[in-house]
Amino acid sequence: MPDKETSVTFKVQRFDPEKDKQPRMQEFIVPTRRGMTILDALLYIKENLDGTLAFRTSCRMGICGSCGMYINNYPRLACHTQIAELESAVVTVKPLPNSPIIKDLAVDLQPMFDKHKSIKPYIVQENKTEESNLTHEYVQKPEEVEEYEQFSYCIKCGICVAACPTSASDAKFLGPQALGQAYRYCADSRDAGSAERLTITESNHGAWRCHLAGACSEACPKGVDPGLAIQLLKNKMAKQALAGPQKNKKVAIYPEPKEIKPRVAVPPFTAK
Amino acid sequence: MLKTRMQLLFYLSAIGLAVFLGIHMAVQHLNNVLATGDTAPTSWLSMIGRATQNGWVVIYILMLVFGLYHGLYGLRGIIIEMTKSDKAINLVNRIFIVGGIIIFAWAAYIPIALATR
Ligand code: SF4
Ligand code: FES
Repeated sequence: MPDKETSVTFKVQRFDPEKDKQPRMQEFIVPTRRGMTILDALLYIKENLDGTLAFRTSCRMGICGSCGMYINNYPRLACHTQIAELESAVVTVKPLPNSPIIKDLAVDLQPMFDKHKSIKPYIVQENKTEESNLTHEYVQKPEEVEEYEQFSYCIKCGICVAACPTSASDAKFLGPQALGQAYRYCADSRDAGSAERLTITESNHGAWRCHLAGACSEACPKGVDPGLAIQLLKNKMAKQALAGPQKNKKVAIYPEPKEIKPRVAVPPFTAK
Repeated sequence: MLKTRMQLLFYLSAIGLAVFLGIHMAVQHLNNVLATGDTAPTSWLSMIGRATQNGWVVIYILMLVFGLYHGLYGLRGIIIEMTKSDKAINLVNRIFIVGGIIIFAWAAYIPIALATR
């Protein structure tokens, strides 16, 4: 395991579709320090060794979902993976599998976003005007929030898609990200779009193509467990197929406020 | 929700197959263990004897239906996973439906013919 004195060899996959025919591996020696992440190492390479290295990053704290990469042959978030936890003196970094490469470590996640859009990832309302112009606040009990909360932590990093064996063999497969989110919205008590959404997820490349390998759930850095969401989605699909569309119970609406209380004034800034 | 219904039938046929293969094992291969009374259940005479009983004809045909449906639907699933165009998927569906019906008609003829001769 590297300590603060050591350096680690990074084998990074390089590929520029405008110049290269095949991807190639390039080696960099990166001095490491305690707590250093793969993203820190890539930033070190970019700033000190090769400014042409392309990768995507933004928040550096596992929130934006930009930095998914194939690190030591496993899909992970680069900012969420410390070099030390890999317990290896050589680290290989490649782009996420199952997505087209834009350049080096940056992949095109547009196909995943398109599939995500196709499952209507928003609260569908019976009243379409209300859908785009919400006029009420809905009451949702804590147990109703629990139904979907875990699945709402998805940051759309694409790591589950990279880990999924069905996504590897079927490019049209909706994938664990989109299917997981389909369940997230179907399970939301405010949603009225299950019937519509479930006909989308039962397509030839939909939820029934999931073979429950569970690789998505194992790899997901946010603990979303898309594999579980897909199984729960299948359950909803089976109920709809046998008993017709299942409607969520009507959610209560907060009563219109009778009076609007003035905001509490912000205390004056006193620190000198 | 046609595809979901077909998938549920796929699971149901697996359960049916397990039940009927269980009966098959019990009658033909575990006769000593289960003491079914038939000392040579796999002999020609014993098989023909069963084939002429209506109950067994029903079991054979149901086993054929479940086996065919489960096998063909499973194979179709593997093929469409690797098929990108929707037209090709439709063609695969048609081939499997027609092929399934032909195999069923041909294979169901044997127990029916035996039972009615
Ligand atoms: S389910 Fe997990 S792995 Fe998949 S996109 Fe969402 S956060 Fe990333
Ligand atoms: S940089 Fe945002 S998740 Fe890694």
